[in-house]
Amino acid sequence: MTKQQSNTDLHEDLVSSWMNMATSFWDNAAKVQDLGVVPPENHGSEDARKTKNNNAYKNFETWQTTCKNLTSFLKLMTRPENQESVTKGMGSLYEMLLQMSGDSVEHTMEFQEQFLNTLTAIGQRTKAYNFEDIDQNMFESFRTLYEQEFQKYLHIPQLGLPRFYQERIATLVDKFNLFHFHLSELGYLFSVPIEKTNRVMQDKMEGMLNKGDFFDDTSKGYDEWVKILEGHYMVLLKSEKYTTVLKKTIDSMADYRNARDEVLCHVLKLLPIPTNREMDEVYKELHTVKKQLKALSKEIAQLTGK
Amino acid sequence: MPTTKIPVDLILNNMSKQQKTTKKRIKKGRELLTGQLETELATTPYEIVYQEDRVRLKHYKPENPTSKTPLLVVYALINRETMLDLQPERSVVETLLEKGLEVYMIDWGYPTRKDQYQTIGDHVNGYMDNIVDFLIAKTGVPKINLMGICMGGTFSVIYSALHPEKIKNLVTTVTPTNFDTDKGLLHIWLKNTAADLLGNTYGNMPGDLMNLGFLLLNPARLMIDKYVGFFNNMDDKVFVENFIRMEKWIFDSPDVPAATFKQFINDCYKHNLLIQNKMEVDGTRVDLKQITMPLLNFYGKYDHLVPPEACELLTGAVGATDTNDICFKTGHIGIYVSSKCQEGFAPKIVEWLKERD
Repeated sequence: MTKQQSNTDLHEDLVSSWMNMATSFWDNAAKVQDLGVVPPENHGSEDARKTKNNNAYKNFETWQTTCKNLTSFLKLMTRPENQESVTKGMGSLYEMLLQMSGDSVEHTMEFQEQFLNTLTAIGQRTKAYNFEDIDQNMFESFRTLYEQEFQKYLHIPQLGLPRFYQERIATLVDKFNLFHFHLSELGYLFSVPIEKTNRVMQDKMEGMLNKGDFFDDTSKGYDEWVKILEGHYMVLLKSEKYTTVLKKTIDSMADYRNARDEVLCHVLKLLPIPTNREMDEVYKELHTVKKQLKALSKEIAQLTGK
Repeated sequence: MPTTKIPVDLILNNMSKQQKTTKKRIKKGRELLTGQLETELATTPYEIVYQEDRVRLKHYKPENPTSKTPLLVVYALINRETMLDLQPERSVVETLLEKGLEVYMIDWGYPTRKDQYQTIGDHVNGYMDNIVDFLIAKTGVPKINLMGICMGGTFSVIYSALHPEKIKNLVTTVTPTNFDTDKGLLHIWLKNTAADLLGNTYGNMPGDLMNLGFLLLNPARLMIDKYVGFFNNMDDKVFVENFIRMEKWIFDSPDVPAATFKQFINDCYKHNLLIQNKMEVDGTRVDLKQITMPLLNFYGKYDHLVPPEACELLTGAVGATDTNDICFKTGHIGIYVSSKCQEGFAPKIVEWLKERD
């Protein structure tokens, strides 16, 4: 017997046992008269049947039908002629789950590795007036993890009557997440000059102490610190890295606002309140009409000489 | 190994002194901040002589008028015109009045969501042109003098090119007309800004968001050092009053109508159309060669918002032969409020206008 055949037999045994157990469970669950829920015609007056018990029995009937359907479905699947396809299906599901968890673990590990690298780098020296070596891998890894592993679930096509609402909510959650990723990155970039300035000041003070010198007035120390900080910010704010992150933050903020307004507009539709979009249409018409009216008034004034 | 001696006694002595001084300062500062402070802006009396929608025209009357041609001042849509009358003795308006000029100033008001479709054309060919017509009819002169500030200067340049027959003399101050420069951070950032997305998202461009952008131009000075300076001088009544006036003015920022914001960023900052005579307003091309009236152009050498490179090409691009560039060694706001510019700025404008009255 080959290893593959052995694995297939093991799958078949496991699946068959589980199916039999599930069939038995749902078959028993369908016979819940023992739990005390009985048809209304066997229980009390006509009024009672119309009210409380009637509702209870309706729920019971729904439950019983569902269980019966499930039992029938499971019985159908456990027939010998269906065994093979069921086993194959279960095998695919198993492989899919394994693949998904493998990918997620891989990305999580990659993110953790970057995160650990970043933590290690915190204690290392940073170069003054240089923003090319900023460790942004952590943000990139986290964003990649989100985009590859989580974002796709928010983009699953929605079905049924409420699908538009679900899509809007999913878009809002997605845009909110993206905006906060970029905002965190911008915040981090903004904190770097302070870190660098503090390091420069530490070196400077160390040098002064070695020479037997020190700031005799704290305001002198502050003046020096703020001057270096300003220099660091000037370098950062002109860098392409900062400009790119700033643009992404502003754009993602606008996207998030649009997604939020989209949801709010639909909530407002339920209330007797006009939405911004509806008012904007009115404002646009008003603007056009006013402009035309003013132009006409000017022309009339010129024609009449007033 | 050489040993060094650190003057620990001196350092500790100074720290002790500083602590005592700080304690006194905080005590006096608390008394000052909880007491009566004169922090009113724009105290020079004026009269509203014209109003259209949110836009108003302020009229400042001199006690002894010496000029027959009135001066119309056009401020930017960002921040407010009160900067020209920030405090007594450092007020451009006050100086212009003392020298006998009849001053009219546009107050653009606070745009609301209904104003989001107003373009540069609506401001220049609409409000500004109506105001100029009103002034010509009111004063009986065929032409008026026009003075623009920052973005208001850009509007004034466009207006003068489109309606040269109504303008006698043009004065531009810290006015950007050449946007193809990387000297100012604003120029770098705005070239990368998705103006359409922002304009469509917000309706009007929020003043607070723009102010945040201005603060980020120099965070160390504008978000930290400025307030450390305030803390160090909080026992000085005059300093505190001036500081609060400036804070009131800086953070009094009306929103900018979306259509104007989009057009200004796209046509000017991104494509630099104005200085190339390629910009269109209400379907008409703005030809700077049509500016044939005398032109006086002020700018600041250390202006981080509108650097000299953004201002100094104008005089060479217009059709006028009577032009003059004046560069002050100051920043964007210093030109109007710093004490050293008070003598060289407003009196120079009056003198130049009177020579051409």
